[in-house]
Amino acid sequence: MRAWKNIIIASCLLAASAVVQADEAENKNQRHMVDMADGLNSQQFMNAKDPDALWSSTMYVPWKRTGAINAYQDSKPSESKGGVNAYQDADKVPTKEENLAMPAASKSGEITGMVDGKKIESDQLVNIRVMYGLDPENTKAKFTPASSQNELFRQMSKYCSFGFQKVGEWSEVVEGSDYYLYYQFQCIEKH
Amino acid sequence: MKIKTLALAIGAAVAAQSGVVLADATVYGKLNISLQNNSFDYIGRSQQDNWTLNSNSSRLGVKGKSKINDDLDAVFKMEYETYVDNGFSSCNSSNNTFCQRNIYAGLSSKKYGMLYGGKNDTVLKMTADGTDLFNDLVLGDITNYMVGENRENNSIIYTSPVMAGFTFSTSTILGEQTGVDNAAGHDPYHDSVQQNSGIFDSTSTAVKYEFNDKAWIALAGDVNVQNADIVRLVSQATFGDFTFDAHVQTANNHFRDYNANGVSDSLGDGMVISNGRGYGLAMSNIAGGPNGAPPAGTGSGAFYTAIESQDAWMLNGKYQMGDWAFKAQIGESYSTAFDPTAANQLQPISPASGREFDTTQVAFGVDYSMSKNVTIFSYIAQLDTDIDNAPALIDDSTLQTGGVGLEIKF
Repeated sequence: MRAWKNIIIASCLLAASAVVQADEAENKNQRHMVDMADGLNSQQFMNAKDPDALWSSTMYVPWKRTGAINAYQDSKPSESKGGVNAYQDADKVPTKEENLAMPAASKSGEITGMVDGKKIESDQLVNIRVMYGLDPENTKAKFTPASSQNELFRQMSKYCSFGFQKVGEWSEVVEGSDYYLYYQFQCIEKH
Repeated sequence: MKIKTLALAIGAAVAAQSGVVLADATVYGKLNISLQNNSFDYIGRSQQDNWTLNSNSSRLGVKGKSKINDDLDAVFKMEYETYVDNGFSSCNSSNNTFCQRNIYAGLSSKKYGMLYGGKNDTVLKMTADGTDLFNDLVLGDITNYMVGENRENNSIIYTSPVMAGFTFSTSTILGEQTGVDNAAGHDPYHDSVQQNSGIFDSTSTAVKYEFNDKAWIALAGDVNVQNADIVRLVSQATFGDFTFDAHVQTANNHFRDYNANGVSDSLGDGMVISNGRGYGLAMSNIAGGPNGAPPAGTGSGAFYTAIESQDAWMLNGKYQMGDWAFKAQIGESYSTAFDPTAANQLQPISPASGREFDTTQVAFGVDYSMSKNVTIFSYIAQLDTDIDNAPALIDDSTLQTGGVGLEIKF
């Protein structure tokens, strides 16, 4: 090919230049799973998670679900796997926990839940949590396993005026015998 | 979200009743449709000028893995093309709604890589990996003028983990021919018809090196894949909001023509080019070709159905400005056609008039991302094919198209 040598040299230079040049600008191209499917790195594709995928079996595992928001405050940047967090997190051992995003009760009959200033839509998955202790003698939590459920049901009732559907729950160890109990729920609409 | 919620509810109900532990599975895909205005000026033939609604490799896929131990997973992928424009698949004789794309099952080890078998893009094709800015689009895809974009049956593929930036991948493609010549006394391994009966008769291999997350280069080679031996070099580099891609490759016919008669006998007759798109479309519409009416007084004409050798390159660039992307691509292939058949050595092309033809592509496009997974796009593309030393031809082929479209990924 007439242009062969130039093309080879150009492509090598392009690649080599990129190594030298530390480019700080953000690449705005988002790589979707469907694009990765045709690539050479099949393992990367196999391990990829795409929150925009139509369906995923991780939808059945509440703590892996994408699209939920955490209705709680996290010490790290809030990046939920699929929802809104409505609870407070801390890298350090937490003190007695209070929910930070608890909405006021509504008299209008509308869904009252607000997370990060945004109204919770009825199909929005929301995560809330409280800390409980299994050892009453050695705990920093103010809830027991039983009372933590009462607290979370109380919170859900505050977020949703017409009722709610709990779609998942799980526990995550905090320290020793203290755990966070998470509920994942969505508000129902008026019939 | 409502679709997901419904899927969640159905899936949860099934899982609850069956007690089945589900593998890690995901349904993904995309819909890509475009409205095209086409102007195809074939060689020695009247012009085509029309509007079409196209489905551009819209697809539905399922991928999944099932854990065997901490290192090993069983993996699978099933991906099907669907035709948004008319629901019609022309990929096989039964005209199914879905056309098989890449489908495989295999094992994936974190330490040792992934081994899988099925129908899949060749390793060489996979090196293109996002570098073709007009992939799947009418006259935009590099397959319109470049050999090597193959999806092969009976492929066994190994891909290594990324090690110090390197990824190695290789495959063997089983031809599944009988290995037995029907003619008494003939050695099947000297008959091109039965050359592909072994386990390593056709291979596709690549090495990719990632300098960082913004630049990589890959070298790939095919041996006897669709009759072709190909060496391809691909590179991508990103500088800020600019991304550049480059392809360069050379291809040669793997077999010589054992029958030395130019008659198609499946092997040894060059790299077959599809007459459905790009330069294959232009060639097949040469006057006297399969789709072309001969000019008055010329009788049947010879036509090129296959390529003996080809050199090709492609360069493109994209500028990302917020939600907008501006794209440009140029490419060229210079091919030597397989000899026109003896029966067709008439006007307007004959062996004496030369067998070389040059195809060039130019394409420009603008994309706008409406959301993370929804894009509207527009583009124009032109494909010129120039047959050397064929003075009997009225003119060369110019295929032009312009399109606006919508792509939804999920």
